[in-house]
Amino acid sequence: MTSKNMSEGTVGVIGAGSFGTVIANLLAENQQVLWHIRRPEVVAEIQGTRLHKGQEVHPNITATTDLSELARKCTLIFPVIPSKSFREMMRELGPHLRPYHILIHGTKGLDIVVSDAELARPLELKLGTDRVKTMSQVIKEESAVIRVGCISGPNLAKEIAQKLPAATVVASHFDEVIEMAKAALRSTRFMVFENDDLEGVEIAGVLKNILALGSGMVSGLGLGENARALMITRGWRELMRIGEQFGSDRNAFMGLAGIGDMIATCTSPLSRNYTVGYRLAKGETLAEITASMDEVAEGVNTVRTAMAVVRYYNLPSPLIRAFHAVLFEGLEIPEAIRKLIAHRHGPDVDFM
Amino acid sequence: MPNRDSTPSEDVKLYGPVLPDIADWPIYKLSQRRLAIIEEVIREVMAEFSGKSRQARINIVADAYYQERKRMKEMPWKVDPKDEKAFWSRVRSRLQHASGPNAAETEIDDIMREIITRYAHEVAGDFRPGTYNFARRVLGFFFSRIFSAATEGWFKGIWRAKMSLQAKMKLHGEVDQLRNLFTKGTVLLVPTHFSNLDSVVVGWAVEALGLPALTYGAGINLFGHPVLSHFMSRLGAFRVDRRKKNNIYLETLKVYTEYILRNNGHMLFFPGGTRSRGGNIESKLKLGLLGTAIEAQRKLIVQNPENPQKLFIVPLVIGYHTVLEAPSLIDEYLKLEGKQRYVLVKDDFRSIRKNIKFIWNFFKSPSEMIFSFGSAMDLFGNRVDADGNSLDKHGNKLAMQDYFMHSGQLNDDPQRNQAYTRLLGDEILKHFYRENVVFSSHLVAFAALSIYLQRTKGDIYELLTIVEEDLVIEKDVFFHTVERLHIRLREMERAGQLRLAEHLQTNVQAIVEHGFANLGIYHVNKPLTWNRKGQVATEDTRLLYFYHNRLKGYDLEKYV
Repeated sequence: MTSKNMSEGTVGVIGAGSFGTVIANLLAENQQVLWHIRRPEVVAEIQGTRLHKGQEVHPNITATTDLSELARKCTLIFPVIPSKSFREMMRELGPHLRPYHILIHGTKGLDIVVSDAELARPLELKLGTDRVKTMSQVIKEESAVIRVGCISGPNLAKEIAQKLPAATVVASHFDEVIEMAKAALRSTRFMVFENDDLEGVEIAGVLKNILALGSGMVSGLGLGENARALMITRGWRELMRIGEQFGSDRNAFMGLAGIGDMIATCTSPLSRNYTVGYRLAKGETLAEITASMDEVAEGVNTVRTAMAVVRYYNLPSPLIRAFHAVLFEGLEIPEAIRKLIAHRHGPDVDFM
Repeated sequence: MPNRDSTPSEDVKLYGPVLPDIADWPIYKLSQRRLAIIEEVIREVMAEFSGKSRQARINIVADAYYQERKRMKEMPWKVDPKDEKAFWSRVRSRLQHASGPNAAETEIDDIMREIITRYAHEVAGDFRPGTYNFARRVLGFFFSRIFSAATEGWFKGIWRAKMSLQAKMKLHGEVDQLRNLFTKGTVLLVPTHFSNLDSVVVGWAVEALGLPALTYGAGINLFGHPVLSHFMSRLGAFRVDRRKKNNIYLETLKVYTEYILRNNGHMLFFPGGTRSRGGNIESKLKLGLLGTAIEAQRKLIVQNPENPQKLFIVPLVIGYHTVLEAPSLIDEYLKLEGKQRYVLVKDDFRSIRKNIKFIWNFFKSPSEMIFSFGSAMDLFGNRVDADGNSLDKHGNKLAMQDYFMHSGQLNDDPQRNQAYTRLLGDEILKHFYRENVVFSSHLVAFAALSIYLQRTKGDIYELLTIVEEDLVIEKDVFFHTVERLHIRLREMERAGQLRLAEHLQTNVQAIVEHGFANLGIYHVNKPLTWNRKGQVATEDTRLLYFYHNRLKGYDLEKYV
């Protein structure tokens, strides 16, 4: 497979998680794909078995461990790796990138820079939006690339791998980036919608993970569908308010990458964040759960970051505060619920 | 004439000229070709419209006619040429014929060309070295004499003008790089805009740095004054008429400025558009000319992809302790923002005498003015080295053509240009905040007003209803607040988020004294004073608000 001819239109993918695999396979339906995977043994395994993460690997895909090769051969690159290692990867890739490169990421996470002193007291951490970066901002900070975008939406990897119909949102400030992504991803079962509010789409896609976690808790505790609807609706308001601090307009929250993605992750036991919430409610500790999962549940970090933003801007955000207390401050879930109900409640809809 | 030893220009000249011979200045070379450039502009604008259908072109001319008629009726200015009514009524009758069924295909083009020709002649600037040298001498004389006179007494000072202006007007930033770039490409100098004096003092700074004169767009109303007009039209200014919004005019203006930028015409441009009404650093920019710069750069790349002529952006933040027009500016701001909540209207009185008095006061006081030049960047926010090479974060050289490539080809994508333009605007704003030099006066104004605002939960309009006598702050409280802010500001300075004036590198006591002595020195009502009980008091909350706003946008409120 390594001898495959790399044509002009070869597209790069970075990251061998389940969503990265899905994206690589989707792209491979239309063109050659060069797939960067960090670990050589995984590359070897893929070249041998043509299987990864339970998915078949498309014949048009070639795997490599060399990031500079990716930069040399591809102008269009899709990084799909956990937010925790995103900046590190960009620092390695950055020197090889030129302004003609176009990067469209599929990572729902945020990057924060925290000093050791702050890290020592996580419960007092306060973050203004200038210290919380979306992945597209990380790309721009670590390279000369300006033409960036993201894909986001209700994209549960397992379902796309099963070739079920789905849709995604491509967001970018550049029409040409959106057009390129649409051309590269075009498919009979995968629809691509457009959005020009890149940061809004990124923020919405990240924050909704918090509610997925909460939804898992609701199921785990058997609180019922009324409680789930309550948690999601009120939580959504809190997330939009955080989004506003980032300057995102509400439209991104109302679209496929906002409400759409939230519905999928909050109702599906397939999502990792839902699973974490569920297992927490069943009495496992966060440490135990994290140790047993092979991929990161971004929602856990998101709660921490969102809480730091809530502290900085002094937002009410009762749900986010409750999630944070349960995850990191040892508050028992029943006590958290009691406090939530006791909270003073105002108007139903105050944001339209 | 003063004797050679005290030639005024030597007093202000801190650097030798980058290009000693005016004949080498781009602005001079361009003025030599003025008529040829106008012809070129007319040709390019015609080409812009040639792609459209005959009917579309008829509509464009008709719209221009309609808007111009409306302008002549509703907003006539003294500066408007006498023949314009006749011109446009001729356009009207010819348009009627040209849009009729028997008209030749080219008739509408002829009308269009005439309109463009008229506009191009109106817009195009000129540059006369004689006038420039004269103005330079007068300005130099004016600044240095008035400075010496103010500080040493009129009679003594006027003949002993050797004292350095550098002490008053400080130049911060990478000056050598800036000078160098004038020979490596085309520089677009983009200053903040707080006062009408800005263009005068920037002119002084450009001269003091030994830079060749810059061209700039000046409001056409300024050409109504015969003396001013005489100077402006010979000092490289081109005319901008904000009343004219029709497509033909806008296109002509755009093509003209783009031509100048493409042909090494260094330019001065206030991206804020107008003076900052609130006293805050610009938070939103007028992107029009920045977009033109990006398109100019793209065309230069198409001409020579491997080694294109480059455009550089140099942000400049001008720091004042006092803005002469602060009272009227803040009134406009409050009215605009507060609508029905702000009804106070005060007359704005402006005169040459008042301006001179202001300058006099400025030089007399220990007050200073800072020109903080940001490091130069290319149109994509990349820093540039001494030779004008763009560098990425890793120190790699960047090829400008890479920004305009699509699938391995150079292409023209107006939407991409728009997105680049917005990013450039953001980048300039970031530089403004970073290069802003905080003065003692900004700090004390921010501290005092923020404390007042706590009484009304941050509501400025409610605060303005409180009579000034009731607004006092205990000395201790005030000092503690200044101290907290000062600590935070120093942190931010270390992190490169802003700059502090030299006079802030001292203790709080000295800073407060300095701030009180300098804040709004010119104004009749003092923004900050000490009352008889030794408390901090104000005589004009609006003015205090204006100066407080200079530190808006740094998230300092939580340190109050």
